[in-house]
Amino acid sequence: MACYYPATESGSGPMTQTPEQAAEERWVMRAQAGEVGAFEELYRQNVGRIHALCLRMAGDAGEAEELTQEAFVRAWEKLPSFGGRSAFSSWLHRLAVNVVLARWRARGRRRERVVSLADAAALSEPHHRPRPRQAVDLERAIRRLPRGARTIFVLHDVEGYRHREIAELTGLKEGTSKAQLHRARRLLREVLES
Amino acid sequence: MSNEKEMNDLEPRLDAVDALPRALEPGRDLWPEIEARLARRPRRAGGRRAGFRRWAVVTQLAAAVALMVLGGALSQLLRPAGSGFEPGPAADGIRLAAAPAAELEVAEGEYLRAKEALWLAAYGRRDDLSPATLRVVEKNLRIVDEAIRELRQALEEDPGNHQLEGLLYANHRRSIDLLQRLAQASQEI
Repeated sequence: MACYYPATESGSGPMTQTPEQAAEERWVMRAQAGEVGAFEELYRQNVGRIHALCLRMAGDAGEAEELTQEAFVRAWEKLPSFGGRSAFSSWLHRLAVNVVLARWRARGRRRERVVSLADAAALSEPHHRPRPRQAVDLERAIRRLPRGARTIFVLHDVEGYRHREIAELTGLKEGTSKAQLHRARRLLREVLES
Repeated sequence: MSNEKEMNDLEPRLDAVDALPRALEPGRDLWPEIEARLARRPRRAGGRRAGFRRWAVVTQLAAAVALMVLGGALSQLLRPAGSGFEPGPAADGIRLAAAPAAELEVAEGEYLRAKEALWLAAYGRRDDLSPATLRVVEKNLRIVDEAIRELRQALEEDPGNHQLEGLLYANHRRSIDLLQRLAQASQEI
């Protein structure tokens, strides 16, 4: 499983720190002290991963950019309380997930698209271009999943969160998370195999 | 049966997921807008319980590093121009011995480490300092930093110019001195 942000952070003391981790810690300390330039460095190092998360969760490029910006602004505000118990990138990632979820909670369900299993065919997009790579197909299909299923799929299968953590983040029951994942995988498989 | 196994028995994970890129850069640079928003929403130092313990450690470390560095490599730099705060004009540089490129690089490295340590010590509690003090120090630091930047550029074009090197070292001293004073002021509060 591609687990980029392990659920359980092992302590990364000075003896086990890689040079990259040590460098990140220095940037974090400087940003905590208020140096915007240091925070920009952290932004440059992490923006790709955060934007990928937002894009996959939101399914819309414009909204993903807004959410990415919001995540970094929130990170700047909350940085003084970051205690270094986990890697900064993991902390930022979780914060970004919360930013996306908070946006949706604020909006309520009024904009949620509902796509039933019977609508799976709608996930395939007619186009006249050479057959793309498998990953591009999957990326496109993920974007067209209904929001609930997309959220769980991205968090669990792409980002490596466990159902227990997803339940904590989203407020859903673990069983709901599992059901949504099942639904998402089925929808995607149907599209990719069609 | 674990959640993951239970799920995989029902509907296996898609192999294609492993081919998804870890990072996707946005179509444009988002930093300018983020930076503008940070400027509009200055951060208060509150809510830093966890960070405060770290700050205390950082301050101690910074003081130790500053003493070590300033007592070592920078003491060499301080000696030629005496202990005065003002670096003096170009003649200051002429009095300094010629520094080979490697020596200059070492001195720059020591300077940057000392500056970073002092900077952390001083600015970690910037909210506790009076705005007037901060304004004056920051203004002077900007002037010194700009001078250092220009001197580095000049040295790139004219490596080995003793006069420029002397001026660079003198500005190092000014910057360190300012930060030391600020760090001391913040510790006395």
